[in-house]
Amino acid sequence: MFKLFLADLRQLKRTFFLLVLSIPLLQLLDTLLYRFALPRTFATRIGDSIMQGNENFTAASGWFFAMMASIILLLFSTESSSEGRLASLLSLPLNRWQVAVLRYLPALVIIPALGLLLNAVRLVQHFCYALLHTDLWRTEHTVTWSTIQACWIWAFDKLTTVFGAGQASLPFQFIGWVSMALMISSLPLLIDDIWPGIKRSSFSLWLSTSLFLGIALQAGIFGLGKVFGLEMIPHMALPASITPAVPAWQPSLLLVELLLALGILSLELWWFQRRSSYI
Amino acid sequence: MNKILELNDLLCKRDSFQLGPLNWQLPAGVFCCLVGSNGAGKSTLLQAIMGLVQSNSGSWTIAGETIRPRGAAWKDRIGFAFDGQNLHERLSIADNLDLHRSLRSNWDSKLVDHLMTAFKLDRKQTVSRLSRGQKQAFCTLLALAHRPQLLLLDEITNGMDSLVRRAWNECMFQLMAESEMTVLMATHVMSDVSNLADRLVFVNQGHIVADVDKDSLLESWRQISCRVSNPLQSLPRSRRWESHGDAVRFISQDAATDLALLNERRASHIESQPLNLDEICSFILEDNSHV
Repeated sequence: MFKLFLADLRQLKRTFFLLVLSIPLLQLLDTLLYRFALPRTFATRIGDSIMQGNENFTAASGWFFAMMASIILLLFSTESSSEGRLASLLSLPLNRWQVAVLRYLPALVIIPALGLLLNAVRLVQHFCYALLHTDLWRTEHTVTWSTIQACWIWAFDKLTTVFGAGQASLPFQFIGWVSMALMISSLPLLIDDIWPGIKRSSFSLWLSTSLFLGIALQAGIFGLGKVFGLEMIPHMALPASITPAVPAWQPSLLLVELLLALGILSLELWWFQRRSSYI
Repeated sequence: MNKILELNDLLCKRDSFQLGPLNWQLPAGVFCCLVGSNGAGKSTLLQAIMGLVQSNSGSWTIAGETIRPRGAAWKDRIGFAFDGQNLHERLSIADNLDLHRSLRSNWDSKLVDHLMTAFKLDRKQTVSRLSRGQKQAFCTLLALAHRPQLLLLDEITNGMDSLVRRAWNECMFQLMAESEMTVLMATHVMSDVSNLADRLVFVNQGHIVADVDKDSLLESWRQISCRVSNPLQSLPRSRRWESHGDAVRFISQDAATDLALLNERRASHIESQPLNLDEICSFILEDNSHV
């Protein structure tokens, strides 16, 4: 089964490269999105100098990226684009649970892996941003060793405190990507399980219904957050200063999203066992 | 004779289509072809045996074991290849072989090498670059590589050119001769049926309407022509009855009985010509078109 999973990953090699190549573009889109949400500027001491920047850059959370990545993965994955895959898998000595899990593994591995890669890119971006916005660089075009060190620390801080949840936010982001990947891959598969053959009869209907439901769910989660005042809506919870927030565990949108994603996943896995047809 | 497959009141409902209820047995070691028009239920029957279509009631056994479709171990006894099978297209043939070998308990490397040579497949080649016929041949190879007791084939020779088809036919013939394997194949290609089949099972509107031995079918269905001294309207169960004066020509589905009857009536110039399978199958399916 592990070999089958690895083969699935190798099948998605091109998709993976496409996503990697799209990281800068998605990051740019993410940043642009926040430019309208957060037109705030800040000034802070960093190493030997003062840095002046705009929060719209540092607020980019990667959620947009995760959503786009999931959709692209969904579009390109063998599961969504080819017929006969279920029948082929079930012709092998695999039981239905194994096949059901195999459908998710590539998405669950690729999305967080890309998320980590995105964070690495963002770390470098943040470092360069900090360095280029120091007064030392802007006035004299020089840097000191202590400024470089301070810029790395600042970049890492910004990267890990985007949700205002302190240093713990990196794993939270990770959970966020997994939730998003789960939700975006579970919904279409759930629709396919409830209504076998929809994919074959109308791929566009299947895809648009899935995406519409996915977006509606996301909007619902954020709406819920508004109503109940839950934390961890990135653009609301962004700290005004660069002081790292104290790590704190509290009911959050991320938790709601994770629970919802796991709920949809469980429902899908259960329904998969009861499909009337696997071909 | 041992039964490899037994269907017991197997019933599958799929939208407006209903397969069965079927009660049928397949003896071990035969090459059996499922014949029927499009939408008759041949593929659904194979899919039901593989557990790909949920049965509403009934059961089926393979080599005496009642199948629980959610399990996995029983699939090692079966090979299934079908038109539109999903292979790992971006991987090489070698990688695909390696993958399947890791999933099968009794992989026969010698047989794989033999079939690779017979089908002229190159291990380094990427699957996506194979022609449709080559892919079908490769799917057959994967279904055969673990030496299944029962091989299910669904329109697998579609798209094969004459060379690949001949190689495929020769391999199947050889494997049938040297092993106890049983093959159940749904097909519209009558040359394959003619070359390979021992038995023919006719499927129509979700029912098995006839299960016959190919040789006796060819023997019993004949075109008979003769001259009769006394006027003859027709014979029971004859087809396409044509008479011009004392000359008579018709299709008989029981040639031995009809020839005896004609001899009794002192018919002369009796000629009996064989029919090809395609014609015979058409007659049988026409007969059962309103099951």
